[in-house]
Amino acid sequence: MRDGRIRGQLLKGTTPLLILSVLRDGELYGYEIAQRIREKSGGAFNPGEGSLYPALHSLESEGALQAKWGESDKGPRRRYYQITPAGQKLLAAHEAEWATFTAGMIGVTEPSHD
Amino acid sequence: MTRTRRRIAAGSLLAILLAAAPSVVAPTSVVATTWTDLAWPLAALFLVFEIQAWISLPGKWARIAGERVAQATTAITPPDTSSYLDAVDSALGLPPEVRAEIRAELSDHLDDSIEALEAEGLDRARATREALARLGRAEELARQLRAAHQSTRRLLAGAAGGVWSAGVGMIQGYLAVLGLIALSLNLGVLILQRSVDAAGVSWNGIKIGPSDLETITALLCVMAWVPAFVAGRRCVRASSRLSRRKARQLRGFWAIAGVAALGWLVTFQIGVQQSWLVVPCELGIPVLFAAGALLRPDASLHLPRSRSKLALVPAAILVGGLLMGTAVPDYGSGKDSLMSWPSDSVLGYDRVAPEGYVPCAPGLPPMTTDGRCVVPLGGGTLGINDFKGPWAGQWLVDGLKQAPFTSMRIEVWRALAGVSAWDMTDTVGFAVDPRSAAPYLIEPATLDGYFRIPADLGSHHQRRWLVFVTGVGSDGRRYRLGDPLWFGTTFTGTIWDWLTASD
Repeated sequence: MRDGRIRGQLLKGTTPLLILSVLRDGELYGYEIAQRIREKSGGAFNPGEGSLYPALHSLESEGALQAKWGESDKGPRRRYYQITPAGQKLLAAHEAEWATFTAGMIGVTEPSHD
Repeated sequence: MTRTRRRIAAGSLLAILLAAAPSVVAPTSVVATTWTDLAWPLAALFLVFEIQAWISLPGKWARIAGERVAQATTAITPPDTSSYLDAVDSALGLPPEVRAEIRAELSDHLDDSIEALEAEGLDRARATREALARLGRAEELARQLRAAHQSTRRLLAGAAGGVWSAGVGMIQGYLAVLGLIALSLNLGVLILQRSVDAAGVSWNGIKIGPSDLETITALLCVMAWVPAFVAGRRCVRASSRLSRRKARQLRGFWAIAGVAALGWLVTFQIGVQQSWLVVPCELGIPVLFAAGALLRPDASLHLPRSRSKLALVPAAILVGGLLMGTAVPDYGSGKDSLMSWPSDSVLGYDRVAPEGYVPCAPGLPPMTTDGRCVVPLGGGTLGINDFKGPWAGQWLVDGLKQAPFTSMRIEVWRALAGVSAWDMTDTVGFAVDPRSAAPYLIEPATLDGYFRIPADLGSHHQRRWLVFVTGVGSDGRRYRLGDPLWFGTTFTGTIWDWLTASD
């Protein structure tokens, strides 16, 4: 951790979970997704933008996301991503997996009181 | 009205026209009568494939694959990000519309990122450098994006979409060509009819319409060439679009697959009349499919205006060939009089049984003008396909019971190469010996005659056969009894059967 941020290596594998989580509340375009992740994590998560788009397109290929071009308030058209029912299921699976992971991690890393 | 609805409406209208037009335009033509039998099933098929426009299966597969149609964006890209976007674009290896979409999205992202960094106080140059750095190396980004797009799921969707597009393209194209030619033919017949009527020439004795099975089969195969070419193109294009792979990556695969599948189909599965004319026409179908897949399938087919008229030439030849080449004189009931059977000297027999030598059976009128009785054909039918395998049948011999013939047998004589249906005269040759001869057995109770020829006449390329009964008279010489019947063993098997048949 440097400057309160999580190292990129640690974030690897969590990008789909982060993307699906922030899209649960509504459709966003790529830059907004990166911003939203940063904001919601209090700046702790700063996903590499180079890995953001491959992850978005991969989720779209899997049918977890649906993309469409739409107008933005900033002028040019943006490619908005929206979570699909398949994406909701994937998100639930990722969350369950993450819960198991964090519980296990806490169990291992917390000092023993014996 | 949407484009899809317009397409369906146009297709339905065309289907109705196809069904109705021949009988309206030229109700007395041969084409009209034959077309009427085919028109409604074809129209129904056409409608089915128009309905496909509603269902739009490739579109469904596209949605399943998560694909969206690329839409142009008008993002303004700073000049110094262009080289980065160019590098990503050239390394992507995806179809052009997908590359354009990705480029537009990354361009938007860079615009937003640079703007945000400038708002944080960075100057334009530093903001641009920082924004590009956050995206990482162009080649690595392109590699990851390519991997994201070229998933197995999309590959399967591309394969299914390719097969579907090829099939639909083939059938739709074939029906369209068939319909256009039918309409053109009817128009031509109409013009010809009017011209003949205006010239005061009697229609009696003129027949329009393909009567030669070999010609019809060859033309039907040629009509499939253009649809096959278009199907090859559509196959590669649909597969490329759905699988997110470049057309040039896929075209070799589809060319080989098309040649294998269509080649197998026409060679082993489609049993039509085969000949040296028909076989190349049939094999042209897989070849044209492969050509459509290989010859720049992602490029437009538009011809320069100066050359566009050339496209009409093959169509004109095809329609003209159908119309003119098949206008054969029809001699009606007088046809038989133009033919004479091979003489006894050609066949090597002593003589034909003289008049009265073979008394006619009660109730069976003489069949020839010279008063001889012809042994009438009965029982087994002698169609083309009856020559497949040993040939068995029944030949009624009522009347022959009184004839003083012994050793009666049925004989099959093969015409020599080049003999056509109209050449069975004294001047052309037949084989010097019967191809096959079988005892002619008379059932005493019914007086019916039976025969069974062990030969498989249908396995031979030879097309003309004479079949007749002979018997040994009281003078010890063999006589031909009645007139022979001739049959054309037009080969109706597959290409493979035909190629491997003995001559």
